[in-house]
Amino acid sequence: MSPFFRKLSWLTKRRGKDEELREELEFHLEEEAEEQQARGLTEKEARYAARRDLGNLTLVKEDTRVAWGWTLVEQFFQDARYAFRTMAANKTFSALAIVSLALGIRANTAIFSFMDSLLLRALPVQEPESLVVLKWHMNAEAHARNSVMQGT
Amino acid sequence: MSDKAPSRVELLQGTLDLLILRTLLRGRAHGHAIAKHIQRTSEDLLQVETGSLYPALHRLEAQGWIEATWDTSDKGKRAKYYRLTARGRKQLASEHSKWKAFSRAMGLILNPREEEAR
Repeated sequence: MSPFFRKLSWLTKRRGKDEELREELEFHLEEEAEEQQARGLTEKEARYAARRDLGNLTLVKEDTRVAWGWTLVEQFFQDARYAFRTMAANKTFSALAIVSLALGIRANTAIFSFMDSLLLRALPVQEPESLVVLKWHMNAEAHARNSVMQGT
Repeated sequence: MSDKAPSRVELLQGTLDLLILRTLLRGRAHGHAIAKHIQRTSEDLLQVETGSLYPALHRLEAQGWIEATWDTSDKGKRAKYYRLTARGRKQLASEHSKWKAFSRAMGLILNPREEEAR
């Protein structure tokens, strides 16, 4: 079985995996505590030492779950659920935000479609790239000089 | 615990997988036993952090290099035992030869005189 399909099958039995991990770490703590007790610590001290050795239990669990894959997907859905809850909790604010977004997008689309038809669309002639803009202008001084030169 | 043996070596990135696979070559073991075996065999120089051991075990299991079964320990408690798979053996062989090449290369650079004397 490839890693992908193994992770896929783990995804379906997530609850069970969580419980297994809890039991696995619990077993680790008990083993460690027994070993500490054998070194002469009292039962309470030994349990405490084992916990200290393991460190942050929730962090260890979190890090281990990452190995099962799907953490990114899960976090995405978590974020999405959180977003919907926040929006539902503050309806006026969400409505205002949605309306202003809608208006903003609409205005942009309108302006763009106007500019698009005006500037970007091809002109309705054959070979529009061969069209040129001719500019014709003349000022009085140059006109006078030209006449003098012609005169000589 | 760390005050007892001050001269502990940090595990190099990526070596934990190799150490776990090698430990399981001796036969199946649970997480705690694997950690203790690595610690003892390295004469307490290497300590496996639990925080990295279990993520590594589950990652190796996901890769299909080791497989896990629940069984009763010798003290009568339920424990999760890990065992090397055929693919794990192959992976161990390739990782091991990579490591040998790496440590030889490091040796060549760090002790050049020894090599010249040969």
